[in-house]
Amino acid sequence: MVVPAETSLFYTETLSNGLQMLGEYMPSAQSAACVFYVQTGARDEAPEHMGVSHFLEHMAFRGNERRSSEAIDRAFEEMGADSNAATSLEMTYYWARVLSENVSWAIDVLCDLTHPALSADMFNQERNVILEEIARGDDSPGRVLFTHFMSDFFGDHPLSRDVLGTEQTISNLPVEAMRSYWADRYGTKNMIFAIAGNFDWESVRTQLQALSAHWQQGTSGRVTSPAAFRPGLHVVQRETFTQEQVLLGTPSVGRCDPRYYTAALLTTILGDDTGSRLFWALHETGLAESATASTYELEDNGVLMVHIATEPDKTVAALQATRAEMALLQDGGVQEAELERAKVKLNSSEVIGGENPNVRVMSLIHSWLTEGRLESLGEIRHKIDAVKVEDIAAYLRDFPIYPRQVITAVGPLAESDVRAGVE
Amino acid sequence: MDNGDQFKQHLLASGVQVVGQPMAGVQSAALGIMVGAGARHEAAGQAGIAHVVEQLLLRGTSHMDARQLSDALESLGISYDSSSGVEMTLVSAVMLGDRLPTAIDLLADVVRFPSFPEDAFPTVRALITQERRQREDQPAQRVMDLLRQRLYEGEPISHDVLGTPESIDTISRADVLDFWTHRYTTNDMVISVAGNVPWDAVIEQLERVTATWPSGEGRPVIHEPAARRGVTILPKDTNQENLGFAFPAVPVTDSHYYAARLLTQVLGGGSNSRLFQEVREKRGLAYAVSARFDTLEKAGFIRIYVGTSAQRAHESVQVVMDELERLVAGGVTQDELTLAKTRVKSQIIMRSESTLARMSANMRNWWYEGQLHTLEGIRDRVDAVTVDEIVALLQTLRPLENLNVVALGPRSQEDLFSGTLARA
Repeated sequence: MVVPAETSLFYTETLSNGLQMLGEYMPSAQSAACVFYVQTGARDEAPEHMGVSHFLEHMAFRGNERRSSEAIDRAFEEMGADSNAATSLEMTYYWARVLSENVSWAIDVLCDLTHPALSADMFNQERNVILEEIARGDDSPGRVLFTHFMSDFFGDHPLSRDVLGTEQTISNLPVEAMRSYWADRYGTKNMIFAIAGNFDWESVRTQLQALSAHWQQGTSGRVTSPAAFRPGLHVVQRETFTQEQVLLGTPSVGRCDPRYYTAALLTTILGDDTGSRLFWALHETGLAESATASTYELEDNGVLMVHIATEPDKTVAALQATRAEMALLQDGGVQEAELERAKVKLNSSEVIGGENPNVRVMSLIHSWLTEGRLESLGEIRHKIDAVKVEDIAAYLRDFPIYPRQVITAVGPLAESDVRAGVE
Repeated sequence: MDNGDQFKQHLLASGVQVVGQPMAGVQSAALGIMVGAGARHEAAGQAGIAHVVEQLLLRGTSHMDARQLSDALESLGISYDSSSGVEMTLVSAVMLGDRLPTAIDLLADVVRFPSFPEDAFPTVRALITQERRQREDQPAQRVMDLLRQRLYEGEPISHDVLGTPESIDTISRADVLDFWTHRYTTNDMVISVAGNVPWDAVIEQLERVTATWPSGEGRPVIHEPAARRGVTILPKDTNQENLGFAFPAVPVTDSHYYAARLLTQVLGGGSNSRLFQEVREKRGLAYAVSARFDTLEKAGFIRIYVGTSAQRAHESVQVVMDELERLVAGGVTQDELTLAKTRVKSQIIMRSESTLARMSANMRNWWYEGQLHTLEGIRDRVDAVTVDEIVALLQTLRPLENLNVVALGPRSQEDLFSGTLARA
């Protein structure tokens, strides 16, 4: 195949069993990143089985009829792969990056990961690792904060779930529950395979077709619903932590909403980690070591979050300054000049990130889930450039970021110490 | 394998070393300026000053205040960062290639003409105080950092980059100017560019920009630091016991550097490693368990981390000690070595696809070794390592006799180490 030097090639195909395949050929790459993306996560679990998606992701590495646990670990080492897996509220993915000559080997192993044996012995053994991961997470302020925040923000909505589960749900989880969860959610109709970098599409396609020929189709989709907004302050006092960390959240767009880039530009202006409004108001005044804004897009809901990490004595002042910046943005919108600067930043980071197969492969999946097709960097740039000051104003009318917020704080302070910062 | 990418090197008239690697097929360029100014250079009573200086660099120059500087970088989408460590300070940026000339001008200004505005000092002090708290709240990071400090206690490379609360409070603007004047000099500085970079134009610009920069005493000649064994218990009411084990290895300039790297890979470099298999896969003692190998000038050290539940911490210590004993007694197998080689080579190639990673690797190679390594050259050195070389290296390193251990968590020394460390 002759490919002009700077051009990427996109591929998409739906196999007859329903498995969706996506690809982007990157001419300058020597490696390729391959991903199996399963559209299932903590929100799709029965409440009493909370944590089963993540536990299952661990079990994927513990072997099946074709490869034992050791054989999987060994294979990734033998092919020199960087590999990993992750679970969130809505997805579970298995990822490997290898030199191009090892692509078909990596795909072969990734296929095994998605079809684990789930033996009772391995299950009970791996349970200990999960319990260690939970214990470790509970020692980490960032994780404790995020878990409480999501629970505060989403209340009884399935998005309030903790991806790791709790000591109790994991200790009580029967292996049968995981087996039936797998049978239901790990079918071809609920999976996407994506690859970015240096590979041959035709051989990837032929290989996957053969390997997945007998896979079950399973179910796809989930029950979706907008979550009720429940503003309020929740302070989790943990005296072992020395920093006070706070998240302030408001509803934002879901992942298929075309205003995605409007939200991204807004959060860049408000709280990018350099040069943003919060950077000047909090970081550069020494009020907070971290003061950043981001969005989290989910299928049916979205959250705009501001994160602050500070010391206990400065928490009230930091919160007041943050809320003052959010009020200013809500009332006054953004300036033309700062919007232009945010566009340059976002465009540059899209191009620079686009050189990395790991980043590209995830953005293929993102494009597919949001647009139903693959988008070039040029199309993304066009969307970013199209956002106007008025679009941001309209977003702020639809999704006010002030005054009503869900605020969660974790650290040495009691609620009475924090409250003055939000009143 | 290198896609026709070329290594470049040039000594500027000012004395600054420049290394570069133009890369085909990328739009981005990475730029770094590295200065020999780190915690190891700090005098008693000025602990943390290298970090204070680094934190002040981007807060104003003789030509621009902090906001003008930030606007100039941000309006071109130049993503920038600064950091300081034990041995050096680094200012770096990634951008689309056509913005490289502006980035060079701005970062050069930051390094050579910082204004150290008096009103930025309170901010920097406050942020460093918070950084210390942040580190305190991350047990794994804290343990890894403490291992270096304890392993080299009494040596300059044991200095804490964050200083002490007292030293950070007392460092004055005069101290900062003095440290900067002595350390930010052309003959202890490397500039690195990689990616979409027009090499000749870069050199022409750098010659012009650095023409008047002063040289200094150059890089101080240092002795090989002595390592110590020891045990440190930091009681903390965490769920997990955070265990760290360290022993000295070899510096990057040593002919056995890759032997040390491969032995670390076999011991704890990923899910196929001995520690991962024994601690996590077979016994479920931990979620996080790994070994890493780091080098400084004339020093190298291997650190092991295990985060394990308090009830099973003693067993985790036992397994780590058993694995170290097994390694020393039996070395590694040919099979393990072959696997580790594949992994290490593959990682080096994959990381070399990023302009930022190449800029940084070339800069460090030049800094520590005065040479650049092609992927072929690295591959040859990795391939040349034998089982016998690793066995011999382990006999020299004597990990068990030179072990420094740090434990952060709820358990006492007796709980953790009775009957285990005694064997060392």
